[in-house]
Amino acid sequence: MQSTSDEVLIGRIANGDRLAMQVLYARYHVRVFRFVVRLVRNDSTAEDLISEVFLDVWRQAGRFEGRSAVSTWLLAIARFKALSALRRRSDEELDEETAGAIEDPSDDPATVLEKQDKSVMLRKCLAGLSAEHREIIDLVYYHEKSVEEVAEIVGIPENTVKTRMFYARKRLAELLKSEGIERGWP
Amino acid sequence: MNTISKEPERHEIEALLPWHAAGTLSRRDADRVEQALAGDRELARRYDLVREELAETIHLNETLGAPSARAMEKLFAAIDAEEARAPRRRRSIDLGSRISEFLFKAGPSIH
Repeated sequence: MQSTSDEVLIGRIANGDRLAMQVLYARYHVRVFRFVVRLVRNDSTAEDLISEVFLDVWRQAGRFEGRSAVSTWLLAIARFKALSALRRRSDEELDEETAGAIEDPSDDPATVLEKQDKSVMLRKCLAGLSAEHREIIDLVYYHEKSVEEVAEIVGIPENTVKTRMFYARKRLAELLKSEGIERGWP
Repeated sequence: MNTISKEPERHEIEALLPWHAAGTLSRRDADRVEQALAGDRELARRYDLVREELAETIHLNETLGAPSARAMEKLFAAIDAEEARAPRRRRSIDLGSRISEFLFKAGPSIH
């Protein structure tokens, strides 16, 4: 059975179809939540933001022109909301969170064992990237966005998308190196 | 195995590896990358690193969980409140009923 396309759903939402809104929400709310929570690092804030994102969809569906995929449009709205929320938080709070994310808590036996697991270390270092680098890594690897789509969501030229992805991966390699994992790149 | 002789071209191909791993390149670019990977062992090794990153990024995101029902309740409460304040006009229905209304009114004079 073929599911209703996103574009058809948006058309119905533009006409005030509440059920179409529920279907679209069910289809995308988890991915949008994960994108937002990786940016704002707070579940409660992320939950509030996804309600706002989908409320914007409800309000603006009639203006959706279909020039990009609905999922790309959703992520662009989500990104705008997340950055606005981040701006409302103090810089000190953000700095502490970033430091906390990359901080090595201790060298107890559990941590030593953890360090031996490359996958765990890779995930830890992915979590320790800056918001800008986390965002591009997530958009490319998890949200499966093309160069063009990332450019549209983030609002940067396509060449900058490639360069930013390169530097995000380079930073990841540096973080891994500092944890004793040498990848031989870059 | 040979490596790609032109260094700028190699850089260009290498920059595309993350999108190749995610399957989001155009057919043309994907073919270019595949061709390069087949002839360049170092590039293929770097592609393995990209694939590791891809797998762990998915794993990391999948552990983030999902929003509670509260988010959906909040959304639909907001939608209901908006609709109660100012009900939205159903575009197609409005258009259809307006045409019907027009034809009904104009009916007797249309030959």
